[in-house]
Parts: sequence; C-alpha cells; structure tokens
Amino acid sequence: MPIVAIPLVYLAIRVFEADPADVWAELSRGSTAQLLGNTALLMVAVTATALVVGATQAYAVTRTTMPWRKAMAIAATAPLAVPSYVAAYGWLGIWPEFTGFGAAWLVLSVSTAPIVFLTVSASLARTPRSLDDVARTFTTTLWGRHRLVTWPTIKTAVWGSGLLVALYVIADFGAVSLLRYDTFTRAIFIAYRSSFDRTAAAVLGIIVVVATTVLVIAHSRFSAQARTVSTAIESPRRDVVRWRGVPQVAAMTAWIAVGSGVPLVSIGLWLTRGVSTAGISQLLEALLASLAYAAVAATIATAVAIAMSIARTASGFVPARVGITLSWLIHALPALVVALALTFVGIRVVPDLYQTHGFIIAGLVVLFLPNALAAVEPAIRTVPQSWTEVAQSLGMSPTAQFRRVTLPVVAPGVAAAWALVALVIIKELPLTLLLRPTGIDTLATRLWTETNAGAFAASAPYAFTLVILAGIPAWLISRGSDPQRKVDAP
Amino acid sequence: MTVVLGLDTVGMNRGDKSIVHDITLDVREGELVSILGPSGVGKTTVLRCIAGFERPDAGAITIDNVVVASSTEWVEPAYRRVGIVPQDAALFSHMTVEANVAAGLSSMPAVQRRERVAELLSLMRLDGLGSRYPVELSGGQQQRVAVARAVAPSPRVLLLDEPFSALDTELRTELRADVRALLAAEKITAVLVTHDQEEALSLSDRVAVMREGTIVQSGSPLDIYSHPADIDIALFLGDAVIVPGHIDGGKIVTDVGSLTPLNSVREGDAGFAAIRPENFYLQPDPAGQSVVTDRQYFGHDVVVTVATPHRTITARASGPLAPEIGMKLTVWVRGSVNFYAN
Repeated sequence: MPIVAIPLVYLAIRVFEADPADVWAELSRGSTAQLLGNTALLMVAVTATALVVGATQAYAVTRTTMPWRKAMAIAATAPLAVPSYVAAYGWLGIWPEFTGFGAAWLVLSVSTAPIVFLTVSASLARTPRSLDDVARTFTTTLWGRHRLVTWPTIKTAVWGSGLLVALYVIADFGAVSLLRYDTFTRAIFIAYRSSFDRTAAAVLGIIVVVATTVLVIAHSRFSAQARTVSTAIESPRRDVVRWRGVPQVAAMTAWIAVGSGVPLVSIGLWLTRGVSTAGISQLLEALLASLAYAAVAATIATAVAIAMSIARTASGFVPARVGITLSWLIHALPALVVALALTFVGIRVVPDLYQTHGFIIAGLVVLFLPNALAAVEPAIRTVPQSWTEVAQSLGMSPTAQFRRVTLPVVAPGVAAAWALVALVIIKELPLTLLLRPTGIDTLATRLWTETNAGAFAASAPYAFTLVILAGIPAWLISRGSDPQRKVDAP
Repeated sequence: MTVVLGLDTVGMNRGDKSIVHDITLDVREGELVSILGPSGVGKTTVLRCIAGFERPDAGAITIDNVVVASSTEWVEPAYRRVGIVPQDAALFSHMTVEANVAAGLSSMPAVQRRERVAELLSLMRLDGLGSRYPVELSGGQQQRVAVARAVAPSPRVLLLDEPFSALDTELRTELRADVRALLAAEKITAVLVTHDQEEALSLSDRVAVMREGTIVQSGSPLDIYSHPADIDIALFLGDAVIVPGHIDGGKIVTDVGSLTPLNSVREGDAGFAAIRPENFYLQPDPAGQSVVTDRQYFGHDVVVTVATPHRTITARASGPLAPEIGMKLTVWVRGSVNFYAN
C-alpha cells in the first residue's frame, strides 16, 4: 500500500528537478511570506474561535441545566451538513462583498466548531459521575472541581480537536478561494492554472506538506499522551451548573442562526427564483457524475479497507500497518496538494490515463481510504478472535469462516461505512476540479464554477442538492449512530 | 459513645416518586455501619445525601452535631469532612497514585503531606506503587488507592459505596480485612453500602436493612441474623425454610415437628416459622420417612435436599458427616426458630 506515497515523492522530484534559482526565487518572494502570514493568521483565528465556541457548546449541553439541551446539541452539529464552500456560496449570494479575512474566518469557524463540539462533548459524556463526586469532597468551588477533574479529562480532546481544526483550515480550498482570501491552497490553484511552468505550484505544495506533517506529528503526540481509565458505570451528572439559560440560549441560537441559517436562507432564496429546464438536465448530469464517482470510489475504498483491516487484525501484517499510517498522512494533506501531486504523476508516468474516469477514481480512493478504514475497522473488530477459533474448531475452512461467521456480522457495519464514504466523496471539490475528464462536471465543481462566475441563481440547485446529500451523514452523527463512532468492540 | 453521624427522618423524592423516606440512623464514633439491601432500594441515595451530593427533601442530617442538611441548613460536601469510595474507584487518571492520595491534602505542608501519603500507601499495602498511574494498576489496587485517598484527610465519616463488589472473592476478602484494619488504626467512623449479606454481617458493627426506600430493621449482625423482623428479611439475610404452623402451649406446631420459638409469641396465633438450614439435624434412620434427594458439596459443609413427608427442605450438614443421596433419615429441628404470625 505504500503506493499512496508515490504522489508525494513526485512532488518532491518535481521541485528538485526545477532550476534551484527558480525554486529559491519562489520561496523568497514577498508574496510567499504574505501567503504564509495569511494562512497562519486564518489558522490561528479560526482554531481559537472553533475551540471557544465548540467547547462552550459541549459544556453547555452536557453539564448545565440550560433548557433545550437536546435541540442545541443537534443544532451545534448542523454546520456539518453544509460544506464550507457551499456556506461561502450562500453568503456571497446574499452579500457579494462578503470576501477577505473576516469572511473566511466566519465561514471556516462555523464549519469547524462541530469538530470541537463532537470531540469535547464525547469526552465530557464519558467522564463518570463518581469522579466529580470525589472532587466535591475535596474542593468547594466549581472552578476547583474543573481544575481537578473536568479540565484534565477533556484536555486531550480540546487540543486534539484544535489541531484537527488547524489541519482543516490549511486544507480548505473551496471556501477561501470563493471568498477571495489568499492562502496557500488558493495560491497553488492560481499558480497551477495560470502558468505553463508549474514549479511555483510545486514549491508552495511542498511548504504545505511540511506544515501539515508538523501538525499531524503534534496530533499523534497528543493522542499518545491520553491516559484514561474507563471504569465509568454511571453517566455524568447533568446539573453541575445551573443555567437558567436566557443569555446562553440566545448566544447559541444567534451563532447557529448566523452561521448555518444565513447560507441556508440564501440558498432557499436563490432556489425560488426559478430554474430553467436546461438547468435541470445539467443538474441531473452533474448529480449522476457525482453519484457514479462516489459509488465506484467508495466501493473500491471499502474493499481495500476490509482487506487491510483483516490483514492487520488477523496477523499484524506489517505492510498493512505501514499503509494505514501513510494513508492517514495523505488524508491530512490538502486534497488540492494531493491532486497536484497526482497530476504530476499522471502527466509523467501514465499520460494515457491522465484525466480519465479511472484516474480521478484512483485519486478519490487514495484520498478517502482513511475514511473507509475508520468506518470499516470497528465493524471488522466486532468479530472477536475467539469466534474464528471456535469456527476453526468446528471444522470450517477459512472461506466458510468468512462467509458464515465474519460476513453476516460485519455486513451492516460495512454497508454503513460504504454509504458514509460515498456521501463524503460527493462533497469533494479540489481533487475533482483538477483531475476530472474534460467536459465532466460534478455537483461540487458546477457549484464552484457558477459561483465564481457570479451566477448565483444557476448555482442554487447544486448547493441545495449538496446540502441534502451532506446532511445525511451529519444527521447520523448528531444521532450518535455514525459507524465511525461505534468503536467499542468486545 | 458519641454520635458522629445522625440521620433524622431523611426523605428524598424524584418528581412525584419517593426514593427514600423516614431514614433514621445514628452512627457512633468508630463504628462501621452497613446499609444492606437489594439493588434499587435507595441505599446509594442515602449515602449521596450524607456526602452532600444530593439534597434531601425531608428530615435532617448532622455530622458532629452540626446540621449539614435540612430544609434550612446546607453544608457543601467539601466542608462536611466526609470521604467517599465509589464503586468504580473513580481515580483521577491524570495523576499518579501519590498525587491521587494527596488530592485532599492541599492545605497540609509538603513534608507532612508526603509522610501522610507514605503512611497510607503502606497501610493499604501499596508500597512502591506511588509513582504509577491508575491505568497501570489492577482493579484491587485501584480500590486500595481510592480508600487511601478518601481516608488521607482524616474524614469524620468514611462512605463506602459497594467498594468491593467488582472484585473476585479472594481479593475481596483480603481488601475487606485491610480496610477493617485501616479503619481501626485511624479510628474512623464509616458507613458501608452493600447488597452482600455476608459482607454486611461479617464486616460491620451494626447493620441497617433497607427495603422499599426505608430502614426496616437495624442492629448488631448477630441480632439481625437471629431475629429478623419479618419473613422477607429472614429470607434476604440467608436461606430459610418457611413452614406453616400455629402456637399451642408455647410451642410452634408444624409438620416438621413441634419447635421452640425464639421470639415472643401469642397463644393460638397462626403463621410461619423460618428455619435456617443449619437448624436441621439429619439423623440416619433406616425406618425414617425422609429421603435425601440431592446434595451440593462445598468442602467445609454440604447442602442437602431432603424430601420429608410434607415438604422438601434444604439443610446444612458438616462435610464429612453428610448423608448420601437416597439415605433414609429422620429430620429434627434443633435450637429455637423465629415465628411470624399472619
């Protein structure tokens, strides 16, 4: 599976092959420093906002007596149903001057706060009530209890999700480019499109790879530090803080109304302005392309993920482990950079395949393999080792074991994993934009092109369809039935 | 002996439903009192009210004659000088064992604190584990740390919420003995909540039996076991064969013979006698009318099932002398038994 690393190697080769003077010129240009500054500023601002908002929401719904907590919990995850570039489109549709840092900050903060919310509220919900009880016999103040129990238990979740948000900001392409805020991804795309020599794009791509790797390493350090004893037998107390709730509910409602409400209202408004018949046939074409790519790529990714999970759980097969780790690194990289690297590979090594359906599907598989792994692995692990041993002792052959024991148990989980991966792929924008065959458009690329051209009415049906499709996994997550979160294997 | 902990007609509701009511209990200096009852009976609620995690809706709780909870008074858990050992240990997983034990000692000077922690680790037989993290400990060790942590600040009342229930038999016996020794060494007053009759009877100075949200009987273990207030308590505290009978001439007349009542009875009353398995004496007798139908061997003793002419009884016999299956017997009841009038 180290095949997934090939694009990165090519990216490096592309840079080393270029005239060192050109590379240096690109690195030392004032605009590169500017890009670095822009990206860093956006990253810090969005991460800080998402942490404050997401953690506050998590605390409010798990530890206070605030009214409508259940509704608030669902509302807090609502932005997951709106991909950030769709939200950007929504804002622009109402207010065409909504561009630059402030716009990018707001849209990305809204999109990423649910990441923090889900992680922190899960860790708060896992904290047993007895821990808080013991703390209450030692300390009188709420602050003291939080210092002794609450903060240490959620610390890892807070910093970990903060790093995920930072990765998300670096990787985001659709929102920042629609909102015309210059970060690395937007600059890479412009450099890629506008010049014949793609050295600039490659150099910027390498910088992003380095920055991402640093964040990924930091994240793995954090997860390794986590120390928990899971002996919780009673759910945590819900009434730690009495919040009568008017200001709190108002603040949370305002955030949700502005963050998710404005884009959705905008999409609705534009949708009601009417869609032409030509528009509908184009929409169906794009929908079909989206569904076809998603279905095929999800099927391949799921199949590969099943093979890798079985290889890893059954035998600790080393190449499978290496492949899994590598694929996570690729996943953390901006899809745009992966796409860029893949175009280099495509043009150099397999020019015949470049910009074919097969090539883009391969790209999607590489990109979304980790999603498939995360969803499939827990399902595979629901079959305990002892079952296969029992099956063996009953005289079943390995194929009979798989067919009669493993498959019936994992089938529902695998089906759910497939659907989830397919729905995530439908939202994908940058890789599809770069690798799609000429003349093919998906929902995402259509929306992007039309919005860039200022054709808001034409974009609306695409935005609407995307929100509906993206809403399905978001709804599952908010109900807590997302297979990715069912990790308690026996 | 002075009363350390007092509960006076404590009650608590959740919504319209009464969880516990009319709980009255005094715990004296240095005593270990068990609250015994099946699960869901409200034992833990009583403990949580004492700790201050819940506020009772009725009655009052005093610690050292200071009212800590009533309709007008309220003292926060941290000011009550109570220690708690929850069922799941609830160790702070981000702290070492030493730091966990020191968690309630923040106002103590550092040198003294270190000494106190070392002393408790040694009393709980945790020497050498001070710098470990909770994940690196076994379940039994985690419970030991939880006990040491709760005892470290020298609480007036130590509350134990089924702390031994998750452990296997051998560990449980060991830990019970060590906790008992620790309480004696530290002269600590304690309340233990448990559903395990054996644990309550063997460990406590006094037992309070709870049923349907209130205490139905309290007394010394011997007292409780030999004088259960009613048939349900008798059955809850241990096996018993319930036999109908009536009082005639100061004796309980039943189909297993004429028995001596242990409690006071009224002439002519009809009711039931509760006979403990160890009250039966099985005399081998080829002409006997009873037959052994089953036996379960436990090593130190044997539980024998015997079909008598009118009913099937279970009796306890000492291991080597127990009758074999199929043996004919005459069944006697020795000692006195409790009689409960209808």
